[in-house]
Amino acid sequence: MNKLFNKRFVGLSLLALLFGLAACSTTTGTETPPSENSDESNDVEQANIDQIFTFAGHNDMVSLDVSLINDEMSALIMYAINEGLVRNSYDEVVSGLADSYDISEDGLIYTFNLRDATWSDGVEVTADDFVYSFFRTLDPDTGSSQTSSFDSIVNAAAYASGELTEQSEVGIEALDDKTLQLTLAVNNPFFIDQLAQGTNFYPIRQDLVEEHGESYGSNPETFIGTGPFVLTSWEKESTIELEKNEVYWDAERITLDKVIELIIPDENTRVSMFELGDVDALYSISASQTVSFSDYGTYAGGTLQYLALNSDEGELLNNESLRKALSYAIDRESIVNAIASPGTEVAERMVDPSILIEGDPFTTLFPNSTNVPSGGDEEQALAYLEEALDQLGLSDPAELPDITYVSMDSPVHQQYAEALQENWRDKLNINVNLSILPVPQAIGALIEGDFDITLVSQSTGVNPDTLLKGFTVGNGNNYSNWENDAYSELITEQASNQDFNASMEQLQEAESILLESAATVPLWLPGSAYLVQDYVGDLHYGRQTGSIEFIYASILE
Amino acid sequence: MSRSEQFMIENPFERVGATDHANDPIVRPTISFWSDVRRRLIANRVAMFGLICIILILILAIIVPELSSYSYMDQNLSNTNAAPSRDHFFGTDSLGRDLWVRVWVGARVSLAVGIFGSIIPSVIGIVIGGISGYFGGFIDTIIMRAVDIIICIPSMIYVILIMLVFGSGPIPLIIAFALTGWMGAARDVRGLILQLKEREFVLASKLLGASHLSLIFKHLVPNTLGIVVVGMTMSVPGAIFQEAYLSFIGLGISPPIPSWGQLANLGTAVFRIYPYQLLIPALLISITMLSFNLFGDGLRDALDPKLRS
Amino acid sequence: MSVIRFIVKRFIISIVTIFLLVTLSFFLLRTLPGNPFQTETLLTVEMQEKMMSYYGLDKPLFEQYLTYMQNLLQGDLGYSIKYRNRTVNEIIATSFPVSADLGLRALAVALPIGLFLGVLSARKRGKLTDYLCVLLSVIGVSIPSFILGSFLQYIFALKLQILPMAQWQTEWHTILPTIALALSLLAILTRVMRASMLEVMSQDYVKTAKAKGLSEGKIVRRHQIRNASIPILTMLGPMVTSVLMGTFVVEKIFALPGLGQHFINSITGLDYTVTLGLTVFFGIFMVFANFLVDIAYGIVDPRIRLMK
Repeated sequence: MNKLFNKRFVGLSLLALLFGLAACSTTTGTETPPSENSDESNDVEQANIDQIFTFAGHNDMVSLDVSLINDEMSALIMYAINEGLVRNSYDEVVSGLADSYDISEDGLIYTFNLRDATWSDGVEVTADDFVYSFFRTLDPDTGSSQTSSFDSIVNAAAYASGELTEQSEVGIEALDDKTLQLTLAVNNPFFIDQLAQGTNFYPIRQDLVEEHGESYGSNPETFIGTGPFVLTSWEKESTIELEKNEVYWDAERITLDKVIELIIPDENTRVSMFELGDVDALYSISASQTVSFSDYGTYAGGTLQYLALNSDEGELLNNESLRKALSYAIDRESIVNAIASPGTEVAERMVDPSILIEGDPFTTLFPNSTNVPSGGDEEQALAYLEEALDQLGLSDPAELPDITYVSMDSPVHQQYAEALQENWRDKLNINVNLSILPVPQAIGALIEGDFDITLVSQSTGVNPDTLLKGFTVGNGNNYSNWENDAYSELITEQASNQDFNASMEQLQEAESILLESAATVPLWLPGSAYLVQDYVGDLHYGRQTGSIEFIYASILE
Repeated sequence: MSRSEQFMIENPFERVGATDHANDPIVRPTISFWSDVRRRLIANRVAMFGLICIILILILAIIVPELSSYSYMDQNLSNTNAAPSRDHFFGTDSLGRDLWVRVWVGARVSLAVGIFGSIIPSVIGIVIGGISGYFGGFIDTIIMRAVDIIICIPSMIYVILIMLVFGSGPIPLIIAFALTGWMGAARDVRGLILQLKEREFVLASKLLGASHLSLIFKHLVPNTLGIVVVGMTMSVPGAIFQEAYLSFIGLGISPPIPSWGQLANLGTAVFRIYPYQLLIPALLISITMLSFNLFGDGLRDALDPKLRS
Repeated sequence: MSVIRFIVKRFIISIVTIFLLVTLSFFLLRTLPGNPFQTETLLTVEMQEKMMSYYGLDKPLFEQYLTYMQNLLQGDLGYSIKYRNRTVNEIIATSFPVSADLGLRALAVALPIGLFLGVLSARKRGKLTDYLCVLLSVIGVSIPSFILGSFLQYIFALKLQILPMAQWQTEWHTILPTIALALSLLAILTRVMRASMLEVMSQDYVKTAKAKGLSEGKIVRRHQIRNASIPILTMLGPMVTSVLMGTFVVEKIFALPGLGQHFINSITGLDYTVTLGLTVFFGIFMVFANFLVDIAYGIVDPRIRLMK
């Protein structure tokens, strides 16, 4: 409203336009050789190159409150303006605010030695900042949805549920100003990866929370971080601006002076802005948009999409042969090639092949597979269908009761649903009804068991048991409502098994029971495409944020 | 009845009759109101153009899906996003389905949603508006306040609610339009009735002992029909539009049944790469809206005696 | 006196209307099944139950309603469920100015041009000018805004590169979204004004004025336009309200931080407090706009002024 007919604005923008053009022509004229090594790039004088990196995101971030954030957009910014004990950089765990850490023999006690780092306002970072943050997240009064990330820590879950109020009984303790000790309930070699990846493990400034109360983290004035960048401006649903944090302990490694995120919800608009050079990078580009670019990067991993087939007693898909018929009829390869984002890989099982155990993929150490060819097997599918019809006392697939496929309303999910529906109609002559629902209602149907088939998208985590532990009897995340006592026993036993190798073997055995039952049909590990302008160096796309990681990036020319 | 019989019995007037030669002979053939409307409508070339387009689209929508060798749901994942060719007049979409067939099946859906989605709410609006305007006073206040309130509730809430109860197909969509679209028609009809009910012919019918219902629906409402029918022709594109808009948000008709809105929405996502996927449905939506608008305009001119030149 | 009584009566009716609107919306919204604490990757079921109880969504519905009404009376619309520590009041305060700015610009373009074209085409009835105006107005209502917006971007921002693609920063950024929004408004206004002018031109008082020997310009200005703009006034209340409240499509395509996006996203994402808060805001605005329109009637239409 204040901008209404503001003539000065027009004048200014005209000027800016002229200057912008002038600036463009000078920079293209005087080129500096791109510095290959970002560690030294600060030593190289790059005075005539503005180290400003602009990228476009599709949604605004939700909050700056470490205890509350549970979305990709907030995590992306939080990772740049704050820092945890350890950091995931280029898909490796490196030191963060902790200089070093020790793990006890039995793998249960982690001791972190903090480095001499400060918050961006110069206040020293202490172990108490972490203790405060962790307990704040766990406190039921905070209302965090992320408390389960702390489940490995002794008594954390009990504290989070309110059963236990004594902080000293929880395995989180500041031994002194610079030493933090975390005690785990069981040996969990993936704990350090979880710490590195989760933004909920970052520290929080107690004085700021007390000063601002509920509005803590709702705008740049109420937030201070420890990360390589400082949040300077957050115009809601429009622009987020970060500037280099000069007092960051590793500031020499940071080349960018400024990072701007533009919030652009529409994909066509985003891609056009990239083409115009308004933005330097985009991520999560859909398959169809990549066609017009010859050069784009892809990234896979972190999420598994599988079909949950409602195997509850009394449901049609309680019939195992019918489930197998459906599973064998799916031509996953063609669907992935035709509509999935570039980088998507066909999944063979419920564990993400990118999960590593001391450098080796879990999936090669402990193999397993559904044995369904990625192109499907029509003969096998028809054989299973025949078997199923026999068992149900029917003679024709048309006599089968209605099968409902519940899908979220996002375009990609909808296309998957249509492609799968056609697979079943074409090969098995089974008609599946699609019910396309907005996200909250689709998830409501999933939880209520109000579906026959649905596509579930779940984060695979850093521990191979992440998805598998959900399929035990009576578990709320057992969306297939599949009940197998042998499976449940194996999963419970392996969780408390202190012998790591033996526990992984039990996990493998359990998984093969699940895959054999076809109560879930692993489909694919969705990938993602990203676009980066040539003049941006050292931009990474990785596990830390599940999208672009820009903190070590630089503008080369 | 009793009162009019009384009139008959004690009629104070005496019928004297008319002599034929006292009147000037009517030279021109008499033209009834409706034949005049038809005549003027046919003379209006622009309106006729609109009507012909609508009929043409209807014919194609009926014939094409029956004659084509493809079905609207046959996928061919090895021939996706193919450009228009002799095999596929409008090309194929991202799942390799023939767009020529899908566009005309979509026409069936969109036209059905458009036509019924505008007639049904209009009828509801006429009934409620008629009652409100005729009785006036307390009933009128209550109904009009209710309209004020309902018009403010975001229609998306109903749409989602109805989709959840009845599933996502053309019929739930029409129900949703019926629930959200009647308020405008009710307001218009009420306004017209308020004017009309002071007119002499209403007084006369009242005098003749007509019941409330017959007064409203036999005398008052038919007099508003002209304007309401025009409103309906104009709101057909509105309903098509709204379906397209719901598809843009991700609600609407459930796949694989196509609608123009859905096709346009899918086309928008790829229009920089495969422009034909957006242009074709967009063009058809625009042509249909144009046709209905031109026809509606012509109809209004033809119906309105004041605009007779 | 009677004016004061009229205003007081209108005020009381408005309050009751808004009260009923909130009540109805509250219960309608809560009949929607589904779970607001979700994104595309899943939370565990225990965690969802915990969040429900944290927000008091597991309490009896009527109790929640009473709490909401109590807070509403103090002007507190509550916290958004999605944007955890942002209040609905804050969301309205940051987004409404943008939507209102865009809406006013579009109206400032559409209203004068629409009225002018309407008058012009009515006075040149049946001539080429008339047909051109009618064609323009029909095209204006025939192109869905998500198609128009995309085309404007494609032509002016991507191909010709004379205007910015998206966002809401300088005057230049406002041009494309204003056009995308104004075209359909302009089209509707042209049509209504044309029809209304045609109606007025055949009225007796216009003939009387002609007979009195008033100049053509005076008749058009004093008698025709003034009377013909009454239907425009009637539609202006709802039109201004809906335009100022933001439009999802234009806001999404041009990445504008307006209210329209919050409206749709909160409903499809089941962010109860935001949807309710915006509905209340919308309702109050609508009632207020209609009230202003009623007053404007009195100014424009001497017949109504006499009646009061």
